[in-house]
Amino acid sequence: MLAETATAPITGFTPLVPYVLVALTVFAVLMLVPKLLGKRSYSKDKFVAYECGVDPIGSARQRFSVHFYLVAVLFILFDIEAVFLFPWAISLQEIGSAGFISALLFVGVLALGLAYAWRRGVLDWNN
Amino acid sequence: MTPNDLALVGPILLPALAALLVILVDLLPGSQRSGGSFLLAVLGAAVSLGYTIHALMHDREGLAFFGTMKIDRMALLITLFVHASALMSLLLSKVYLDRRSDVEQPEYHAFVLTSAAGMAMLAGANDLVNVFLGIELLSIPLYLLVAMRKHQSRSVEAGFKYLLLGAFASAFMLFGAALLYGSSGSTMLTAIPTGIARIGNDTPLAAFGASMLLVGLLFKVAAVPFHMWTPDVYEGAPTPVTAFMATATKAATFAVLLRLAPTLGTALGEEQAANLLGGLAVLTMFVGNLGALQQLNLKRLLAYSSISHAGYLLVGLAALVRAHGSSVEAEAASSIVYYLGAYTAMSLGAFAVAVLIDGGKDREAISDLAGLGKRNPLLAAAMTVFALALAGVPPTAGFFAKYYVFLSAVDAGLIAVAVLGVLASVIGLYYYLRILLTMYVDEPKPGHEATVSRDAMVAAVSLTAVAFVLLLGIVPKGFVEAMALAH
Amino acid sequence: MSVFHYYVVAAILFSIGAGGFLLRRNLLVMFMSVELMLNAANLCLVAASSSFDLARGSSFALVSIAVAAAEVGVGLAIIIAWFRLRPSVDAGDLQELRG
Repeated sequence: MLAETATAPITGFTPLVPYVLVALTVFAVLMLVPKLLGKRSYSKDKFVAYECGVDPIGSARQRFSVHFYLVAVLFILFDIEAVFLFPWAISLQEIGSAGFISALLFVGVLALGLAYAWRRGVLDWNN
Repeated sequence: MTPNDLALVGPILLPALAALLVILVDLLPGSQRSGGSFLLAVLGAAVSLGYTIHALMHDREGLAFFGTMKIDRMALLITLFVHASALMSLLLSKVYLDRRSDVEQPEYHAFVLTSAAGMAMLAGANDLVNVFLGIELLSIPLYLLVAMRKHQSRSVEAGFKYLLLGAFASAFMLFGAALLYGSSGSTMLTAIPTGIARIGNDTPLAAFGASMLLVGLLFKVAAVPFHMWTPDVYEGAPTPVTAFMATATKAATFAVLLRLAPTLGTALGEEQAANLLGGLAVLTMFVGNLGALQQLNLKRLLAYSSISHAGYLLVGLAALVRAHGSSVEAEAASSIVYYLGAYTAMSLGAFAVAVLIDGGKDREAISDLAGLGKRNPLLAAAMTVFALALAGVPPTAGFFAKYYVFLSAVDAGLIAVAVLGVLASVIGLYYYLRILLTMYVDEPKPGHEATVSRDAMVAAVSLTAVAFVLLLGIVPKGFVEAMALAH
Repeated sequence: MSVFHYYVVAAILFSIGAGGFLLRRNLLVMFMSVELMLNAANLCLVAASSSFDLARGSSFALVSIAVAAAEVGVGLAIIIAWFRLRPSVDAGDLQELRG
């Protein structure tokens, strides 16, 4: 059963092969033609980051505020807990009111957690 | 989900609700620093304990949630030990935390209750999903409790070690559970052995699955060769947390091991599984007792002692697997439960003494006990009872616990394991007696006498523990009959 | 292609995770290795679940994903606490407790 589902989708994709070939050819031509025919000039100004951003200042390996981590950790938690709500939403018809109440309790506990984090000032960015 | 289901799993729901309540009350303005969370948590643990006792006395047993929870006598007894340990640990933590300002008390109390809920869940789990959930629900708050003193590097380091190795063990457990599911087609613990016999018997999948699950669980009970974390974590953790995790985690995890015994027997072969567990038991007893010989720190000594007790318990488990289907099986099961009850009482007592003599200095040297026999004869007497019980000297509970476990091993035909077990306990006698010698004979070094705090609550914990250790030891027959498990 | 092929892939993933945990000394990398091991187990669960045509294993995998997230949350919090005390993420520096 697994074998069928694993190989079946591949058969429908044969038209992709000419498409990929055409795409590669167009790409190669577009890259090669200017290289062969185009005029090139070099000057110092060409290497300035003018209108392409700014010159980098300092190292990129600076420390970040620990707040980023706290918010990221909270985000992971609340994000992943939503994993339970998808199967719940799909099967709501079958599981009835007991399922609905369970989900309410679950969300309620999450809300309590959020309220606690809020109260302890974790969400306060300026702190 | 019927009201009956909810009533059955009350011992799991109540501590969880109490934990939520502690957090909720902490949200109210002006509730900080009032000590309300302590009272609320103690009340929650006491109500959970009372509910469990009530359920035990009225035989409120049965299957809940489509058979995924099995609240039977064994589950209720283990839950009783867990909640008693949680309550005692909360009482101990009062004096411990009041001397230290670096711990968020409401969080601490909520975590103890959450962990107790996870342990109770584990004790009644009859499904691999619930086993995994229970293990994680008990472990995750424990990681935090160990690291609770976040400005003290010993505590944070211990928490981190426990977390890393605990997560590693959890991964093994989950992979093992997945393989068991794949080789049996069921996650229900009672259906897995028949499932393996039906579809998975010709592959090593079930054997791999069962062994990996076993690795994860043996880590939690600190059995050799998965014991390395124990001394460090027990030493670094706040002492009341150490008391809680040493006793309650062991009880809850052994409940799962008892339920998994038929699966282990089917997946690995009863003979091989019994030999494997017996071999690990012998190793664990010797490593624990030999390791304890060289310890100078009381908490580290108790950690190694805890390892050796995991070994004695594994002897009972080996007998249980070996005697599958005979009358010895029930005998082995009730000997393990009796052992867990006795161990909870005597180990909690010993840690209570460790809390009393610590004086807020985070120094738990055994040599500080010197002269305690003269300065505080009552406390020294209590410690004597606990040390003798841990060593297995009659007429304490520790003696009968070892006696019943070794007896069931002999009845199951594991005579070599029982003989080696007795030998290991003789080695153990040495370091427990050293504690007594230190207390009664050694002269205290000036400046390093243990400062004994006079705290009514800790004294109550010690007294209760003494009472139980002696009571379980003087009339063991009655308790064993009470713990006879209907199979 | 049978369900055993999935088990083989899962076993390889698990071994990579276990190897990473045992060989690397960076605490964050060790933690990531554990997550890899958990995901190997999830793969196993989902594969077994679809081979039996039952939803049990898949729902187990969902539960374990959520639990793993909680574990990561706690783990990162303890790493931060450790880093505040001692700015190092090397496992060799976890050595105050020994004996």
